[in-house]
Amino acid sequence: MELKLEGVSKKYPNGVQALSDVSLTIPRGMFGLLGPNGAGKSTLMRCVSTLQDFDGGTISFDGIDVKAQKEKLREVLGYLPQDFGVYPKVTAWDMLDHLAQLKGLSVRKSRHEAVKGLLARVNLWEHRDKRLGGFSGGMKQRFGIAQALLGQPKLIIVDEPTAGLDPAERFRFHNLLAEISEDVVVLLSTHIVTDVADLCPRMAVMNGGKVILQGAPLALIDDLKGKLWRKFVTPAELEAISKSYQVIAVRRVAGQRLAHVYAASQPDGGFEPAAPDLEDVYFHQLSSAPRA
Amino acid sequence: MLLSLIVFEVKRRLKMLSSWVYALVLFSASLLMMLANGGVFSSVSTNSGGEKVLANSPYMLFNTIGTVSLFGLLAVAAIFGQAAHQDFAHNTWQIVFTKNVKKGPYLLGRFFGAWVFSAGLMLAIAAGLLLGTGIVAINDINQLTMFSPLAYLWPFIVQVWPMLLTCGALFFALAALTRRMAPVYVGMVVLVMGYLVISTALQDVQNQTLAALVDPFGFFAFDVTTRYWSPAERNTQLVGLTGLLLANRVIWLAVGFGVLGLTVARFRPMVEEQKRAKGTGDAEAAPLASAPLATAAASPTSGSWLRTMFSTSWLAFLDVVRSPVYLSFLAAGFAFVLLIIAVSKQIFGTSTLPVTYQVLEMAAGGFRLFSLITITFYAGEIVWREKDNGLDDIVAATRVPSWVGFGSKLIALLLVSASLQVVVGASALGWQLAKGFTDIEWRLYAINLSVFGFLKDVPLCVLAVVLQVVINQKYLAHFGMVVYYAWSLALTLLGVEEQLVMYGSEPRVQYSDMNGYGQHLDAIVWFRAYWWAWAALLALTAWLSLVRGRESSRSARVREARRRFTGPIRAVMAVAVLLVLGSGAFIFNQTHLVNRYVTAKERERESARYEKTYKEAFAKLPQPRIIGLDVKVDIYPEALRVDARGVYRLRNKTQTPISKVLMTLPDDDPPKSLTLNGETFTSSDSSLQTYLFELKAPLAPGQEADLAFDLSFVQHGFSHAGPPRSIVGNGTFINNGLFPNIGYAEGAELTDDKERKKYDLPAKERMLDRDDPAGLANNYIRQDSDFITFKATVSTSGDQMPIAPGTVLKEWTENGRNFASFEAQQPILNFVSFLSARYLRTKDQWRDVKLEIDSHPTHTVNLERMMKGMKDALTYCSDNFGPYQHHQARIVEFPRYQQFAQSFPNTIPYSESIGFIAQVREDKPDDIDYPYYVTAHEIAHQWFAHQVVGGNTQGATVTSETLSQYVALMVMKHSFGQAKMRRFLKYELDHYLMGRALEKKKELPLGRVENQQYIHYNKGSLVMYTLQDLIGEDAVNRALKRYVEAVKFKGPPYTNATQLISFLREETPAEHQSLIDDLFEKIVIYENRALSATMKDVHENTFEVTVKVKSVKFVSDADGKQSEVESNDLITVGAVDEKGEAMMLEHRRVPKGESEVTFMVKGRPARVGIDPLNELVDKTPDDNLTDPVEYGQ
Repeated sequence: MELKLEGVSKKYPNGVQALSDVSLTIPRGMFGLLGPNGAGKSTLMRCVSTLQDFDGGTISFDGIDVKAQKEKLREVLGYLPQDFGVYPKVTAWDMLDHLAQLKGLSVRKSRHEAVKGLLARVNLWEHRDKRLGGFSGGMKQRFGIAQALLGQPKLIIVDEPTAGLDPAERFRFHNLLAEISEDVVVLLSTHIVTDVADLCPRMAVMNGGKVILQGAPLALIDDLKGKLWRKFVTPAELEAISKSYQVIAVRRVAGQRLAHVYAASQPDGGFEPAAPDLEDVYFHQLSSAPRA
Repeated sequence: MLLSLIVFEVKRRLKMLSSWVYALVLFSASLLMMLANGGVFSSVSTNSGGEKVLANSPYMLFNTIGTVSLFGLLAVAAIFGQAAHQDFAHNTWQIVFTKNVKKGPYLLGRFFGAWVFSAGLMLAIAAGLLLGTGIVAINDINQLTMFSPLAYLWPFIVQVWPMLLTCGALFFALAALTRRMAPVYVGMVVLVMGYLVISTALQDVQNQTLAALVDPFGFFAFDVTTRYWSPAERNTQLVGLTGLLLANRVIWLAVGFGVLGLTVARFRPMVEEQKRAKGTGDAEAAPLASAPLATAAASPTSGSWLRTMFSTSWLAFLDVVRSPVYLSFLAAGFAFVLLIIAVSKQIFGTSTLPVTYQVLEMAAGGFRLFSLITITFYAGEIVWREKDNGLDDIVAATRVPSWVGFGSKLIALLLVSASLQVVVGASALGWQLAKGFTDIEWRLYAINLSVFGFLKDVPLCVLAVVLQVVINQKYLAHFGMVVYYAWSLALTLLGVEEQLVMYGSEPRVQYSDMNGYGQHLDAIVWFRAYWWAWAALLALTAWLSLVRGRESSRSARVREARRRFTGPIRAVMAVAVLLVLGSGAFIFNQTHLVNRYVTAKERERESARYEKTYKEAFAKLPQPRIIGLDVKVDIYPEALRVDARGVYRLRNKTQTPISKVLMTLPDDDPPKSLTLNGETFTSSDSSLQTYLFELKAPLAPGQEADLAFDLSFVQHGFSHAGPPRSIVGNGTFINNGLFPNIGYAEGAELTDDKERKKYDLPAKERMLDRDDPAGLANNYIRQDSDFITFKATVSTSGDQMPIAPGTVLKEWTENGRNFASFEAQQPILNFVSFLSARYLRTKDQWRDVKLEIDSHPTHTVNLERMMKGMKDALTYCSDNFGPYQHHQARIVEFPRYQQFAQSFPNTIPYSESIGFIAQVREDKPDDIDYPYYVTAHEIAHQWFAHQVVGGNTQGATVTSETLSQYVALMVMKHSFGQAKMRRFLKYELDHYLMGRALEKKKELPLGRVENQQYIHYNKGSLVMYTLQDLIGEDAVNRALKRYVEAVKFKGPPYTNATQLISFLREETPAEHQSLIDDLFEKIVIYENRALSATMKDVHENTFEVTVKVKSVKFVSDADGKQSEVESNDLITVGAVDEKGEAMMLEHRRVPKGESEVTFMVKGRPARVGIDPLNELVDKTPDDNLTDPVEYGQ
């Protein structure tokens, strides 16, 4: 059971090449898709979710050809889009029950069990009789997660799921995803690097419609070991070093600028070695790959 | 600041595509209206207030601009609403309000920006009209009056721009204060549609002044000011900004500014605090958040998907029902319906009983516009429900089959449509109960609301959803529906009558107590099959092209449609196509082949062909005349068939032998046999239904011969003309117009000169001069007969009664059928009818005359009033004008398909809608007892029409209709008192003045009336009432008695108005001779007014009253041009009490101009003045009375 994308490309009618020649193989478990805004993550996810046609290449999941067998794929799909809304006048319970019906949970009793269980898992049980119009952003997001998990999906696609969640909610969500991802394929897109670092055994980085890096986060971090240096800088200094070195990122630490620099050996002028994290991998890739 | 905001707003609007679309729509609508009014599409006759009011006259321009601008308001609402709302819509308000902006200039700038823009936008109407005027000028310059630029601009100044301010302020306030657009749209719909609906209803309202003031658009004020204007005035005069119109404008401008001020005061440029959502009672124990995830596996089946479809549609429907927009549509519709029912359906201001079918029809009719809007609007809301809520991606990615979603939307809209029917039913029921009417026919509620309400609208609902899905853009699809409505309307206007091309149309079914839903229901079933099959086809096509997900390009949709176009779908579509073709073919066969397909256009052509073919050869050719009829009429109600076998006895009354006879038979079916003196016809024209006899043995002068006919009138299946209306299951009513007519019928010619010109026919006068001997050689009822002998045997089914004029000789039953034979004991006019129904027979006796009313068994409320009307009129006429010529008199009810009562010899067919359900309330002295009045009028016809019958010239109907009207007035006066006559006369005056304003050809004096109803009925009443008031009822009756004696049963030559007037003149004292001229030979109009009055109690509650009056007399020509004349006429002066009933009336000479009259009144008068009863023609009848000021003791 794996999701396989081969040479997928998509051009919008307005001429934007949203995806070009994307090939990925995504095994069981969590797979993180990182990339800046506009990288093509959402388009890719919509193509997998049957919402958008792609011009070239194939996508298949567990023997299902997504292009030709949309209905079949939808039977195993759980999808949480990046932006979504709800019927403001309907209660959480009624809405989720309705969506459960649309997902084919036809037996009333087991459907209600499922709805009940999911509402509890996303911590909305006590709000089940509240109209969705009164939900906060975080509550709405949790509701979205609940609906994506309805009907025992084998392929779960979640587009920016943690946006708007507070740290506790995010933590809970991570646990939930980790729990279910044991048996299914979960494709998670995000621009929050730590989400991927915390959760995903495998990941890919997209930019400009292309996959510019894929692999296991730990291995990728290992690759950077010994090549990353850091130094507190002034704006003038920063300008000077960015001329001679590849500056991956400048962070603010206690009000001061801390620059991370990639170099094969220790640069001159007060740099000290830094322990790389996934964020460094990400920014390293973004800053070194040519932009499309 | 203010100015720059205005400029900004206007510039912003100019850059928007929608602005140009609005302008284009307004431009084309007004262009079309101008072309229609200017007669460019000749088959269209718009409701314009008479052909002689020309297309570019100030009056027409005002009306046209007013109407188009009312629809322009639909666009303007959005403009004003958005002007207030845009900062909320774009979420820029937090930025704007944190700038240094004062709310006053901010709001007013936005408002006046919108106002300036929409004021300019509306000018597109003027542009369209100007272009239209140009086209009309090229097409037919006679359609135009003098071009005056001011006439195009004036309506904007007086009406459109102030209206924009008032309504705009309202829309603006709604958007600014609620920060939402929905209330604006609701407000707009309620305002415009409600206004359209109510305005029809308000026409009948008593207090026109109040109506004129409360109308926010000022149309009523315009209408009240101009309603009695003559065509000449309408063509030349701009309506002045004075009086009611000025008052109206001032009031509503003040309201507009008030609303604006309130908006500025109440507007708060800060965050609206949300109301707290209410907490939930936590009854059920919370499951553990960490419990293992028990999400069930999906196991859907077709059945479960069906259930899902229904539950989804129910959820969507509940959403609609909970939305405030829906509720306000309903509430407004409900209110309008109640208002309509309350004010309409009145005859002489007297209402009918709220019987179920009538209340239901009115409720459904009044609600119709709201239904159409609701269905159109919610089709969009329901189809785009997921998308609008941002749920489309989630739903599209679920496994639910596409048909479930599509079907659920269709069902949800059908549920909405059904809910509208429930509201219609509820308002009708509410009205009945509120009126204390408990005879509620539940069966009618069930059938009308379901079969003829909900089910009839199914194709409409399908179309609304289909357009949304196929067009895939909400507002464009709404526009598509508007195009559909406009298209249906346009087809009708363009004279297309083929129902097979008008989506959703079907023959109209009219419920009648007597005949139920009629005998045409098979046609309904076929049309329903046809349109439902079409709807199914459309729905399936829409489903194939349904967009799921984000790919909406044409190629993606085609690809998807191909994928969905599988075996089962093909099979279902094939069945639908077969059903369309099959039912269409069947309907076509019925309406085109089995029955003749005749359109109005075709009838017009045939009339022209008839005239061209036969006029020259036959119009002057001597023809034999009918002198007797002996006929056997067999009515088969269950088979919708009538057989008539009979003989017309003819005589050659001329001095020359007759060898060529032309005959016309109005029915489509050829006669089974038709012989004249044993010879059969030599040629016939099946489409003109003419039969030509060239006799081998010519009829010698004085020779008599039999015209034998054997005819069968039968309904074959169903026809284009709609359900059968005369030969029906219960309530058959036919007359002998269906039998052969002899000679050239001038009455069949085209009458409209414009149409005649189209067919190269010369213009013609409506009627011959009243003294023309050729005209007086025939009576005006029938031109091929004089007084005839009459015998008939009529039969019908065993449960019905057969009826014809004449004395019943015998009634019997044979082979389970009822028979009756009738004979006229003396010659009658060749004007007889045959009726059959299941009647309740109510008998009575007046002197030696047997009276009966044959009514529908449940229609008994007014039988006594009718019986009294018969007796009183028989007494009055026989005492004053000579004996009644029959031994029996009967009133016979027929279904409401036609609305009249008509007097045949001793037999008066009377429509179920007139009088039988009238509600004359004993406790309401204002109610006019019209069952009594109409009966009296019809009985009087037994003298005036059936004894005295005028020749076929001008003024003929004075001798029948006007005199019958006179009798009805007199029996009313004697029965209810003179004091009660004012209300009745005021109606007559009002209808006369409106009638003359709408005159198409020319108005004539009463003595030369050309069958114009507003003259011989309405003016006739006023004239005869004045005459008897001034010279005395006795004198009038003396004259009429002598006249009846001199001319009854005489002709040819027949009598005419000249003769009648000369008898009246002989009984008129010398000082009133000029009155006869004024009343009968001229068109006289007064402007009488009471300027002021004083009164003084002179002796024990006797008051001396002095009134300052003004009187000006005018004589009008045929076109309504009036000129002032000298006068010193006898006019009634007097006083009325609080109830408006006369206390004192006296005749005084009133000179031209201002003068004073003084008189004594016993008791305290409430109002005093000149012509208190409104006997005289006066364009402003309401100012005749004034409140007297009391002085001294």
